[in-house]
Amino acid sequence: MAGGEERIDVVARLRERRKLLWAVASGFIASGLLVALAIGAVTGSLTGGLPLAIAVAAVTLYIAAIFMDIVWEGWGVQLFTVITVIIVSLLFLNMIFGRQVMP
Amino acid sequence: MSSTLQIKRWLFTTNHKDVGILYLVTSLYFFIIGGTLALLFRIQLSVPENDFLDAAKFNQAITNHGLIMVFWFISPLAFAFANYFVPIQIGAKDMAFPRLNALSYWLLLFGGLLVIAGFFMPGGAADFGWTAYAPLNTETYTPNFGANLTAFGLLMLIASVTVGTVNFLVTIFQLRAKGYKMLGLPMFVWGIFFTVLMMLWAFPSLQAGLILLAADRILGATIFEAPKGAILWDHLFWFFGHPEVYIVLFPGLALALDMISVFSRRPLLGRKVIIAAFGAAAALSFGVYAHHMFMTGINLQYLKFHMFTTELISVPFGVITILAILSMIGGAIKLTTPMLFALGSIAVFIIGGFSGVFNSNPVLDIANRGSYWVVAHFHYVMVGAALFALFGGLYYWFPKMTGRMYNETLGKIHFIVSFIGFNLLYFPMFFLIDMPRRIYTYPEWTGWGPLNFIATVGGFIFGLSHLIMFANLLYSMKHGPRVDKNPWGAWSYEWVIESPPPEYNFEGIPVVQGNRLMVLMADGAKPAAHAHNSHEGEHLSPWPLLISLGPFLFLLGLGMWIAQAKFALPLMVAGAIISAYAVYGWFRDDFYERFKLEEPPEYKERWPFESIHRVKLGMYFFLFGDAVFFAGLIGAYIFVRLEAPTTLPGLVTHNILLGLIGALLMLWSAVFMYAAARGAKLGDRTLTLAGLALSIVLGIAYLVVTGLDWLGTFSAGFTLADPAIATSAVTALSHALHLAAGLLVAVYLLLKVWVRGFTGHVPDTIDSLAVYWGFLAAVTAAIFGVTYIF
Ligand code: HEM
Ligand SMILES: [Cu+2]
Repeated sequence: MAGGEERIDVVARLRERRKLLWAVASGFIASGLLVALAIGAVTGSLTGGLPLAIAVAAVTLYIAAIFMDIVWEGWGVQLFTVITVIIVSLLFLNMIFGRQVMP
Repeated sequence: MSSTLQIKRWLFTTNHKDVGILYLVTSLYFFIIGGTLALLFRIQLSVPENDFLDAAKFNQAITNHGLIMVFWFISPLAFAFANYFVPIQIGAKDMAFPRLNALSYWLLLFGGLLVIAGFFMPGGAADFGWTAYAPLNTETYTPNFGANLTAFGLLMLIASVTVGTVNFLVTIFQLRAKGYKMLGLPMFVWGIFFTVLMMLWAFPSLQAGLILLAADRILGATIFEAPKGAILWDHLFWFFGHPEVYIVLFPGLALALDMISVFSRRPLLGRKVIIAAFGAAAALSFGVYAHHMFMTGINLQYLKFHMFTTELISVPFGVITILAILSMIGGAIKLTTPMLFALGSIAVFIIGGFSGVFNSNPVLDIANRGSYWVVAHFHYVMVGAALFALFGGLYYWFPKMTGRMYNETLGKIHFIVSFIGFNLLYFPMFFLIDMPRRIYTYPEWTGWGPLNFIATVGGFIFGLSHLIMFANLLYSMKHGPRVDKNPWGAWSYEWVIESPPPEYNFEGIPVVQGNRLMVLMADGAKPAAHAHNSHEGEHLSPWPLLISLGPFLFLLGLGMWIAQAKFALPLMVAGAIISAYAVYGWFRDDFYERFKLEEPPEYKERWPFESIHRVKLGMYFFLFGDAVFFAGLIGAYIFVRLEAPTTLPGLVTHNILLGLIGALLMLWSAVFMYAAARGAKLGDRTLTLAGLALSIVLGIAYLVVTGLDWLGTFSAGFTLADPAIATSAVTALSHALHLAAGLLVAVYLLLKVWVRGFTGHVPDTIDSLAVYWGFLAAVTAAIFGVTYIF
């Protein structure tokens, strides 16, 4: 029994180490993405419309997925994350398309 | 118990049943206030050209009636039962977070008191209707100082709801007795489950709207006074508002289903279908709300889509009612008082639902809207369906809560009188289809007089009929005949324990096996007092009360200060001191781990969150709601930028380099916090301490850099009068406050790990804090991407 518990312990430790490595790597990746966003904005190639929306959503979701630990959680948390993303998108879509057409 | 002990118990309790009773008493108290307001304006409307109330008083009365009934009566009544019975029904000894549960209650109470205090402010209370339509809600149109208190009170309510929502979700997911599968739960638990889910994602949208409104009213912004501000408010309000009407309905409807099944001695027909229907309605509720905006002249394609979904949403409700009726057929129906109320609720719901389907057609709705037809519609669903079912629940559970039976005859009389009164009150309103809502009087020639008179008479019958119930229950509490555990022959698990239930519900470990609940004893002996409860430590806590009292005094003072009333500053100072002291006290208790209440997870059914700590799960749920809050704020910025092409993009108003540096600082603050959490999980103290320290430093640096950037914006001459600046400033400020609160916790955890090491559930708390930090980093990226670039 004791041996089994030790094994679990080793596995859990390895997992934590792996998570840490991924987080540090992701820190650099996300930094790069943010810098790219800024450059895109300054050069004017990313200052509005769909491409900007997609770029921002991608960076945000990437940071959330990694640093909120969501990629490492079970499907329950992931399912709730997906529902949240859908609901947030609904709110955005409503506010973008539900606007007055007549003055 | 001596009387000082009694007082201490009710003020400091964290026991879910006590909290439930506090909710019950408080909600009934608000019911009386809201009801009195209603009778006042019904008197005013009873005859044409009446002058009992002037226009100003009339508007204050209807506004506060609506707010109090929806937010401080109906839902809190449902949550009184939820607090008391959900833990027992799922086989738990308490809620997942008992102290937070008490906190929910006190925030609710003080929020309601703030709203009522509005009546005593110069200019009177809020008078813009419960929907607070813009620009009516702004200072220009509503100078009443009470309106500020209403906004504050609603914010406290939202805080209460947020805390409660998280608590119920974790409780239902992780504290079920071993072997108790989700699908087997009583309908009431399912109703509460879907209710809190809707609350989780709906209320933050209102919160965003209210925070923006506060900026308008207090900081001189003009977000809602701007040309399209009204539509912005509509979105933020109704994204919350439509789910809210189901939030009001679900607990009662679900409870009615349970009672119908108990009193016709038949299992519910198509249980799984009913659960799925509730789920479908909850999901759809987020995609139909534009039916409240048919008249705003917005995009037709968009409205058509919402009309379609609105008609779709009647399907699940149709399914639920039909299955409820079919379940009764062939059953041995017992017409007890609770059953009468359940049947009345369903009957009335059918009428209300039908009238709703008519509203979903834009053409008909444009004709009906703003008329008493709509008033009839939503009272049939909110009052009729929800209130009747919940009052039924009060009778149904009375013997369990008190151990005594109420008087059945009086109960039936109450039902009959209130049912007649209710229909006299609201049915005539379907015929007042040409009478506009929210007018304080009307001329004789309209011919609306007689129907209004009938309604007022009905209103008095309905209102006074509840005195029968109060008298019956108050008397029976002391003198009713004693009953045993299960007077109704019901099957859910509150009925297997004593009436009233013992302090920890089950004197042992509750386990479900093949539809039966058993209570295991650790050593087979009868347990002495609490020997077999896994609860140790202090159970009374003054902090939930004080943490709510502090902000209450502070906000009351702030509202008075804006109104230039006397004693405002001392109140604010006292409020601030109490808040700070209470937060310190809460932390100190945690530091010494004085408050321990945890059931061993291995005796619990935790699907689908088997391997996640309850604090972290709670954090996730909180953040899933918070995401909608920030989406509302950022969405408001996008809306403003799209609607007003004269506003300037963030690239012009901000320093993008500072913005980028800020975003990077926040990101790396999150990386280090994540490292600290890994250290905690690995038992590596050095890594944790270093991670926490670096994270704190970078977090503060982020605040400084962002502050510098905003200083630059303001010194360049941009002001909050520009709605794009105002919305983005409110977003940045909300984010900064989130971070500041997080920093406080981070410093505390740093101290605790340093002094005491990894005791208690510190590792899991740090792990949860890292999730929070990750969320803040993600929000920073979104804020940077939207408000600096778009
Ligand atoms: C069968 C399902 C339902 C449908 C199709 C439906 C449809 C509608 C529509 C289209 C309106 C807009 C009327 C207007 O403002 O012009 C409305 C108003 C309203 N409904 Fe429903 N409804 C349904 C069920 C409910 C339920 C279950 C509740 C509450 C428990 C509810 C509460 C309300 C309220 C409070 C309003 C008025 C909001 C206000 O302007 O103050 N409805 N309903
Ligand atoms: Cu609606």
